[in-house]
Amino acid sequence: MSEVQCNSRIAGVGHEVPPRVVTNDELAKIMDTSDEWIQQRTGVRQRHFISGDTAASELGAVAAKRALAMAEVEACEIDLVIFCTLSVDVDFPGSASLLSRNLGLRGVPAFDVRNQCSGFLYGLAVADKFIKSGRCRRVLLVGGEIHSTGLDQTTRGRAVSVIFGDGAAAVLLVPEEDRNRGILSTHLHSEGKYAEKLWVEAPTSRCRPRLTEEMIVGEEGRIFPKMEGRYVFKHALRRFPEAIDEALRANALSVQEVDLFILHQANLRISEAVAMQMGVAPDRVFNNIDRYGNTTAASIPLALSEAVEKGRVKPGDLVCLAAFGSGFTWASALLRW
Amino acid sequence: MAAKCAVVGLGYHLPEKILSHGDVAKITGNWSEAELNVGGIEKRCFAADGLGASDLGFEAARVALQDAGLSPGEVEFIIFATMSPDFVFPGGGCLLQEKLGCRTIGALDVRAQCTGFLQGLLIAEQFLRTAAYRNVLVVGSEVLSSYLEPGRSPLEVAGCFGDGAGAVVLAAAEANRRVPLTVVTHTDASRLEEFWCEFPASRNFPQRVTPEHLRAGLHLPRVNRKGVLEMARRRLPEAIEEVLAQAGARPRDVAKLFVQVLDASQAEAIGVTSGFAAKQVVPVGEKTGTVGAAALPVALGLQVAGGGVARGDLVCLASLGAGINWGAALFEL
Repeated sequence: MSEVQCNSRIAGVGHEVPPRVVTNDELAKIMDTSDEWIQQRTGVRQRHFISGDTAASELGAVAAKRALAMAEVEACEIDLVIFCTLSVDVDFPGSASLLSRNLGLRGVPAFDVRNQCSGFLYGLAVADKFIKSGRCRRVLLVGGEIHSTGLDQTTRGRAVSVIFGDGAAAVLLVPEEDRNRGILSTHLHSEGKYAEKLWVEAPTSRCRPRLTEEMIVGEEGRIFPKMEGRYVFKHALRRFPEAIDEALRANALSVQEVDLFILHQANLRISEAVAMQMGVAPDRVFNNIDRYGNTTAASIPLALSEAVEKGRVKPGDLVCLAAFGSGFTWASALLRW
Repeated sequence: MAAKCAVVGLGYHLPEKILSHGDVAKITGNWSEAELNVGGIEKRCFAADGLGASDLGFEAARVALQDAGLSPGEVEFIIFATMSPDFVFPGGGCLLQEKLGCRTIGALDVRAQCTGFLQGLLIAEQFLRTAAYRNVLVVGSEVLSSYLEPGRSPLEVAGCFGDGAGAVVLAAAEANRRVPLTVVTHTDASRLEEFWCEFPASRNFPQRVTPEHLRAGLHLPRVNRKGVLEMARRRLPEAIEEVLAQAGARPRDVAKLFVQVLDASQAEAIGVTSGFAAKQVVPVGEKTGTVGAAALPVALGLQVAGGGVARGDLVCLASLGAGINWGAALFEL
């Protein structure tokens, strides 16, 4: 028995990236790679990296203020803060605490969602339920990552390091009385069998102590991300279409009725292959990985923010969001803008 | 009042290796047995080397599912709360999905430190109330002994941190219960450095953690005990009062109040301030040490096992920890 009387709706969106742009040619100076190799395999031309101490929660606060301004909501009206990330500002507490402080909030519940590439959609599902249940009316949902300080920027780590970028983006969710508008559905999945196909091991609670000098400087590079790219690619091509189909079926809608697809910006070649497999023309898929790289939990709201800015999302448009990544986790959301 | 959502299964797991302060003093080396006696804790359990938060969580989850009469294949959603995950990523939720043999259901990893379990309950409640799922498995699990370092552990870490896991199954309840699950949570990060661990820190340019940070001990938790207890004495009675008011219950309706705070010896006073009798208050951590997001379900499980509370009893759980986050929950067992 459900008490749902409303949907949730994204009333504001905004993003922020650090000013420093790092081109593929710059990376080629510090590791054995090339602009051609990176573009061919990932579609990334450049990404933003921080150039001094900067927290994802600081970028997130700027993004949040933009989302609040668009929604015409004051920070003091926020009644829940959710921060999605896999690259936390500090070991603990979670980045949601630091974001709350940056926004001057005191007493408002705040927590982190740690679901990697699917983090934003997991966060969106949670935020949506808090509004649908009537518990909250102004939910701030932020995805933010500072990847650059955790990458192995040497030839050893190049397969992963060339993909990722820093950035943050925020959405502000409010109740929507029209049940045909706003977030129409969310679907979440996981399959831990493949956890070590895309992961960072250390610090790890399986070791005593959880972090050692050897983990940092040793040959295994246990503090750095590792990826079996072909594995991820193969599963992505199965799970993205599955998650999208699930969303469409739940709403009795067809692929052709979707005005815009925004897929987690993991790799341009994945997005292209998914679109082709589903028979979606490239002009209905929004990509910006060429300029930002993969910003993990920030990638979907960062793409949504740019799509809105560029007029690619108009009132009444049907937008499909989908993600796949580390865990493995995957997810989808369908929304009527 | 008709129930909206209820706890239908409970389980906990404590590692076999039990340590006294004397045992821990031998491991840490830099504090004496007497010095380690800072948190009102009698003993703790340490997980075997190689076991992570998802391993302990798995044991607790199995018991909770059995208690609820659910098979892993029937679980519809997992919420996993920890501050000592197996890996930096992915989170323990998907590891648990695999270990239990659940379908490819959603597995949410939530991070709210010591109040992670309460936050997990609140999130689960929203999914159930909106009929997104019919049941949710909420697990809190910690291997906080992984923060210990021989010769240099800060006093609160050496004297308090322990390992354990607890789990509950929540379901949309059709049978009438006197009080539905009611949860409140709050965050005030203005003094977050009173209980935190700084490194690894992604904000630190150009590398989030270096051997120099380790040598300086910046990767170890730091606690300002006085400040945290001051906040607990103010915030926990507030949260307890708030959750009672929301549920329309009074302290005398509650069988036991579980209070999780940095120093277990402070729990009773906090309970009394909140209008409870001293004998209603269960100080969380006396027998387990500080086990973060696992502390409340473990303490509850121990009370059920010991006959301190029984099915049908109303219980109130309250917690304050790093964030600074705090909250309270009220439900019928």
